[in-house]
Amino acid sequence: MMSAARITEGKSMNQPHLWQAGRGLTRLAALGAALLLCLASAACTGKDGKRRNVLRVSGSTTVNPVAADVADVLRSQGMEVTIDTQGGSAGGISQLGAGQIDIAMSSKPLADADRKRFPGINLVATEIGRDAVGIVVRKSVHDSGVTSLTRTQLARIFEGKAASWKEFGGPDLPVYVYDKEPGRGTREVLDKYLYEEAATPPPVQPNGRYAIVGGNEETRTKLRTTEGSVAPLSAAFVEGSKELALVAVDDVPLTPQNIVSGKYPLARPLFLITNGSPQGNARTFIDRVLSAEGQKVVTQHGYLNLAQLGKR
Amino acid sequence: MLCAFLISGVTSGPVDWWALVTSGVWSPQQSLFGVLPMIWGTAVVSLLALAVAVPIGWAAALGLHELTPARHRRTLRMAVEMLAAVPSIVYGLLGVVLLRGLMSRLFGVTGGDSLLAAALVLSVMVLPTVVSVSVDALADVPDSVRETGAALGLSRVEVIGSAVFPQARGGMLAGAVLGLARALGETVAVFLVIGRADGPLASTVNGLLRSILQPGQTLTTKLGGPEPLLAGTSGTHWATLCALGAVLMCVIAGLTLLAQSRRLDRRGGRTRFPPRARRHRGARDRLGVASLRTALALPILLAVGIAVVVLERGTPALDPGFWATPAAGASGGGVRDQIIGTLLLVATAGVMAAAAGLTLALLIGEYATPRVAGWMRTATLTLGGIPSIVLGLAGFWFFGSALGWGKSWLAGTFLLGLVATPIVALAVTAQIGRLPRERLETARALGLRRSQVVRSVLLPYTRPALVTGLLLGLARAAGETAPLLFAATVFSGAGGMPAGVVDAPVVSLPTHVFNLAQDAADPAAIRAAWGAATVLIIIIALLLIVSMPIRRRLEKERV
Amino acid sequence: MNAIAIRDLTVSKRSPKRTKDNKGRHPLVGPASFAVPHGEVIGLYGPSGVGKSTMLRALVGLLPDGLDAEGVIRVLGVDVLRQRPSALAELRTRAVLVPQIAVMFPDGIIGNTLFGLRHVVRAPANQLRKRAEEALAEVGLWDEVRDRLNAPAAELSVGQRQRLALARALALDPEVILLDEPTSALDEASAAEVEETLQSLRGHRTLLVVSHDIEQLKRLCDSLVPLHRPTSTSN
Repeated sequence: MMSAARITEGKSMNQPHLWQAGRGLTRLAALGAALLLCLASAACTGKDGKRRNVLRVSGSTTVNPVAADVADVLRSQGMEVTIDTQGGSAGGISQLGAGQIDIAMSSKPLADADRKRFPGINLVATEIGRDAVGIVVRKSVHDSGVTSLTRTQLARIFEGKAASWKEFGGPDLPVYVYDKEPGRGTREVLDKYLYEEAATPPPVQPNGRYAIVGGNEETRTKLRTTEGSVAPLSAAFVEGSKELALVAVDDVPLTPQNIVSGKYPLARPLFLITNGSPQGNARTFIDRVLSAEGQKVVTQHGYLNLAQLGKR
Repeated sequence: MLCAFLISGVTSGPVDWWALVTSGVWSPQQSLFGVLPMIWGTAVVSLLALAVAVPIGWAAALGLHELTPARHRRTLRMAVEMLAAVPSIVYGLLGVVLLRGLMSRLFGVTGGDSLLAAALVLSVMVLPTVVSVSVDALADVPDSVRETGAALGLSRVEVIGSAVFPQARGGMLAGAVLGLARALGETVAVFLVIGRADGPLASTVNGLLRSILQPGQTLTTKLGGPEPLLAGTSGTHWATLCALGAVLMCVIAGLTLLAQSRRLDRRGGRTRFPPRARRHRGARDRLGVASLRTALALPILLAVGIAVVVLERGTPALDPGFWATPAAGASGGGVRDQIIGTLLLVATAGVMAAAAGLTLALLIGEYATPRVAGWMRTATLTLGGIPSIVLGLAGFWFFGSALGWGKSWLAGTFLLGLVATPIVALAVTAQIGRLPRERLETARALGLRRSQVVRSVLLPYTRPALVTGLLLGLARAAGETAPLLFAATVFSGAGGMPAGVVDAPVVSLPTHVFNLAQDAADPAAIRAAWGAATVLIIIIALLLIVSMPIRRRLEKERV
Repeated sequence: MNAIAIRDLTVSKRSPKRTKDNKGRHPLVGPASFAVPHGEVIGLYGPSGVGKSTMLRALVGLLPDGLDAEGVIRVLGVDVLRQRPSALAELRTRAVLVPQIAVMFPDGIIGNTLFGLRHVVRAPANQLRKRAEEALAEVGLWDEVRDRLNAPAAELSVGQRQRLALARALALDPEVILLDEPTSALDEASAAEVEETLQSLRGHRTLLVVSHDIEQLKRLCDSLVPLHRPTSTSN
């Protein structure tokens, strides 16, 4: 790159300059090829040797804010931690199963199906706090009468069968559904509530007011910019958005008390999952989350910590 | 590696090809893999994009080359090509921030996510391809053709329509086909505005038409979503996803080869529909010229508009602190590590592309027999046409799973290198083709061995092309998002400089913007996104600006 | 009344270097003044590089990009330097330029002969075709091509192409024909053919012929106009 940059320095572009730049580049190319080969072979042979001491965390965007803050602290103490949120909870568990990461963040409990998929892996989930999936609608819809929805009503909505908020006592405004993409913890919690274990949701009707979203941030963005929209979204992500409101589920409002007591049906524990009981850096990381400071971070992000749940 | 990926992928589980193309329901949980809705989405989005981009692009190319004085052409062409230099993630960002709102206001699309929104984003992205290739085709038509037409009393638009266009038609069609290839392969920009809804395909014509204003899914957005991560790396789900990638790649490779072959050039012996003299020729001429000029103004205004929007919102990028501080939290701080990561990836990819591209070009241009050379050229073109999301998945499978590297910057280097290599190879091959044969013959007559000829004649002659191709290739690679998402970058926690190879991801500017764009309703996030996007554009612009004098020199040399 | 009248015509090239006296222009042709009376054949001669072809193009407003003409040009009563493009296109149907190289369009022989005609003249297709065939006869090409009118024009010999170029100009029935080096690209035999054709046109139309071959011009023309190198103002 340096040699290429040198070319522009001279105002007059005469041939010798160019040639020189090019010659350097060709040599660089040859050198680079050799270097890459060395690196590649080193990497291949080093694979069976010792892994570098990086703690790899990936999964749910719901757990991510807590993990990110804790990782910041640990990094300042010299630990290497990488965090990724591609694929959500199920993505995290998948990658843990494939040995690509050390800790999976999950916003849904482990299912039998998860354990069955990775028979060689001993999935150990450590609860770090609790969140609830809120059913989020636009404030205008909420204020004009849609304050609570039943399980049957929710099923109608998320199957794409509901046309207007009028059906649910709201304004005559089309219902626009943002559903979570497959694998997101939020979606699995909702599906489990709507369809019990095992049952899978029926295919959605193509009514044109149904789109898919990924992480919590994207869900919030799309809700904020779409009239008449509804989506399942971690309650913690609703705070501070004046356009959005939570509705009660089966007349149970989403309150900390109702989450703790288990009355609110869409409450969900947040987990850090490891292969076997956590060791080394993973142990340090999880201990940090469970410590007093870590638990403070949990509440800062709008979740209930273990003390609030009465587990301390 | 790519072939290994696709073959092993497709064969890793049973794929019901028949159901794949006939069933309209996609539901991995129920093992239903019908791709019709995605094929429909891909077709609608790409063809709509072409329907917008080809007429405007052709008209703009005609306005640019036929109606603009030569001394202004370069400037105007640069303005149009600026649209091509904008990385796709920035188009995605523009789509999320501006187009979604516009869609809901103009077309009453609630939320704005729709096939039409994706098509509009794509049409802008495809436009510069159509214009550039068409202008090149027009430049190949000798001026004597225009003069002969005009000397026989034809008006300006008649000269264009009857004398110039028939001879440039092949090249201009190639521009449209390359545009289609680009549209089919685009992932990130479409991903952010299409809604990604799988929904079963409507069964009535009316329903199909309505679906254009509704959220949908394309083949690339399906592959860009979470499913490759959930599918594991074997079984029907994974095999089906690989099959989608393979089909997409084949279609695009076919289109790329079609555009490069002379097949589009074939001319009929005589004009099938002879033109007729019309009434009001003067007025028709003025109207035609005005509309061609308007068409030319359109991409230029778009380019200027995008520049204004980005600069206006990208103010954080003007603060040196933004360049020099690391990111903090989800959307705070600067982008220091992302800059370092991107530069590292681009630099190492550059080294790889220079080595691979030069080798490939020398093999094609000098060492290989014509037959093998033709075959290798085809392979290079195909490589250049591979959609970047397929590269990303191949990298995820090959480096992440098969080699067990986890996410690694070196995987990113390889993938971005693969993006840049064909551009380098084609630039150098073209330059070798321009080498006067006498020079080679003289050198051989002096008794030089082949390696000596290559070293003393071929290499010096092709160096400018190597530098130019490399810079252009890297400008393209620097903006790539999709290959990095799966193989090389993470959300946070990685620095710009990795400490090793295995499990050594980096952060990068395009993926950073991609993450922030999803949080677009948050003022802090969107501010940071624009800032990072602006930094990325500045880096790409620098690469292009550095390449420009060299390009200009090359053009002069050719005359 | 003159068919062409030129006064103080200069053609200059815009040059990127601006000096005080050249105002960023570099003179290529002129200043030149001459007239071509109706019905005459006039030859324009001068050493190569003096700008004869450029002059010819200036007359019908076909100067290449970057060249500007100053002075007065009147062709068939039209003030060429003060016309908009569509009016110039109209003029060019009455004063046709035949360039040095005969460009054949990817079309048949008859299609090439019809090329200008069918854009310019509103008439039924069979009438246009008749005019084209007559023009081919006028240049002596008809007997050579009558049985292959739809064959690609590119298959013709250079001499035949040159005559076809002349035929498609004649098909427009122009008052003036401007010929740029009509035989310089041809071998001796073809040149003789073309010259013979030109001879046969004498008396019917106003012709302005540019050539570096003064002997040829003497054979063809009623009178000759010399063209001199521009009195250069730039050092």
